[in-house]
Amino acid sequence: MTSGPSERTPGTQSVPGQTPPAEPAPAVAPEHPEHLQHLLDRFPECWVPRWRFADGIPTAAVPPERLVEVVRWLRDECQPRFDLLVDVCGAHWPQREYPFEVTYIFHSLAANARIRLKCATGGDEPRLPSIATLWPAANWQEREIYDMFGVTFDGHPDLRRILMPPDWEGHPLRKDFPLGEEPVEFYLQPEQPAVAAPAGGEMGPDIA
Amino acid sequence: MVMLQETRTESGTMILNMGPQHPSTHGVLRLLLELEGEVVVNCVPEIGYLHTGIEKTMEARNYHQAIVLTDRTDYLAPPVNNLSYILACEKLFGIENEIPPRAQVIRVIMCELSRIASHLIWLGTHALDLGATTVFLYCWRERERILSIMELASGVRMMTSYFRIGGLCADVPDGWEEQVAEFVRIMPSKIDDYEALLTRNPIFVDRTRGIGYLSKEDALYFGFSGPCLRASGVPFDIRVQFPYCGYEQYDFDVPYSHDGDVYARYLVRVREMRESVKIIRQALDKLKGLRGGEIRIDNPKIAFPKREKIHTSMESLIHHFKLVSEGPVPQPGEAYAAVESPRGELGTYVFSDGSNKPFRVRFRAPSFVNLQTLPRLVIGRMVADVVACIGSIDIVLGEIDR
Repeated sequence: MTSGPSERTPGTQSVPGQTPPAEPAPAVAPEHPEHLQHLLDRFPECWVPRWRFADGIPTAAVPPERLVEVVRWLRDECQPRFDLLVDVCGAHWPQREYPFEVTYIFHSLAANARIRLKCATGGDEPRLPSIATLWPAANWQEREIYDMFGVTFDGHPDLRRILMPPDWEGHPLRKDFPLGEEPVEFYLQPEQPAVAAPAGGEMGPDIA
Repeated sequence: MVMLQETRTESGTMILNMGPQHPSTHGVLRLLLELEGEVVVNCVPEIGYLHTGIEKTMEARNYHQAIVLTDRTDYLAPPVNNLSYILACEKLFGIENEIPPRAQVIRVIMCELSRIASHLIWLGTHALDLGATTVFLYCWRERERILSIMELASGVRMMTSYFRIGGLCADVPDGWEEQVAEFVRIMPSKIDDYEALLTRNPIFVDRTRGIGYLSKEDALYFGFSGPCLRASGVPFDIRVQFPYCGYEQYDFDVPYSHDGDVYARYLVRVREMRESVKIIRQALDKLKGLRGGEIRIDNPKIAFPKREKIHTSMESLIHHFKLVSEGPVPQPGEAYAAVESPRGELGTYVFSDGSNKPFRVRFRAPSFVNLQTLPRLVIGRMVADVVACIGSIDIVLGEIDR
């Protein structure tokens, strides 16, 4: 499986009638930060995504089949070593070619620097290699992404739902999963009751 | 979730269900303990009982409305949560270098006060778990003072939501600084009191020293952060490594220890309270020189205009209306911002697709990452040590389950 570069595709949420803001200037870095350049030299199949990273953490996109190798290289061989896995974060971009994007942030204590890896996948059954055996810190975070986005991590020692009940259907943080809410009706005029009855509980018109 | 039919396994060990309503699990944490006699041979934490979908809900609110939801994650230190989210948003809006100094200083004071308050709850409940009732009452007494100070500034005791993108929602009222000054005057002697009760108390020391040991290498592998990581010998503190809100201007130490046990985590947190008092003292001095300073940036597309301007200027009224009804709109992009919460590195990851609502918000909750180490800490130990280990990690289930 190959992964395309992250496109600057707007997501599903938009404001009706609002003109979209101007496209950000593509982040063309004439010279990559040192650690990122190391990584790009060592793994030529990685690339820098065209996307605005407002926090300044150097970022590389990694094809899924090289992810474990890159993570192991960062942990064991890279100078300086990246010895702390900070975060594993999932996101769902339904309009992208590879909608499920997982972001890894690593920290190097020696250099006090951070680096971010991005790995995208798609298809009906999105899969990514697990790094939980390399980094025990990723264990629960990958379980959470499995639970919330339905991304299966191959090689995870204990991949099951973590926050939702085991018999839950669907993956809540996917964009096509509806946000549950209870209808709230406001009574503007006492003699003109609202069309739908309020959910849960009897509220007479005299409340207003 | 593992359902329990038999409490005895074939090998003769017993399965014990601890929680989710057990008081020493500090919330709704459920542990499945496999016991051989009194020794834990396996431990499986089950979480999710407090899952409220905060990350999902934030995707349906605009950037300002989402602030109040951040309070509800780590409910023991709400200002720190606000700050983490707001820093990420400020990076997204590109205004992170424009925040007025007075707002920065007040943010620091609020965060350090909430750090002390959170550590007080941790200390009180941790000591209570280990049988020391008095400390619990003492800690609650001092925490009440902090909550009163927070109420004075924000109007709310716990869920303050006092920070805004671009600054603060309002300036602190008259008399607030004096209250904070009085608090930092008395607090060191109170910490002495707690230490007098615990630090050399033979029962407390017996129950904590050498218990729940985690080496430096393991602590890094398991992604520990905050006081737990520092107790394992890594002086890593976001306030020092990646200063925010002007923390680089304050003179404070990062307490750490090489012992890596429950007792070391206790000592690190107690010393952290003293350091927080030091920071607040310096911040109060700074605040004196910043009287009358701005508390929000002057950017009507992002931050609310001043109240008196809304009453006198048509443009400000329109801006205010637009901000309330639609909210600020950042450019597409993403930003990760980390702060040092009382429990460790609290990161907020905000993705923007160019609309007025965050496309995705993620909390890198320190308790969530720290808690997965628990089986490693307790396997091979007695049941009673499980209580000490849970307490020493200082978990908040609201943050773990979100």
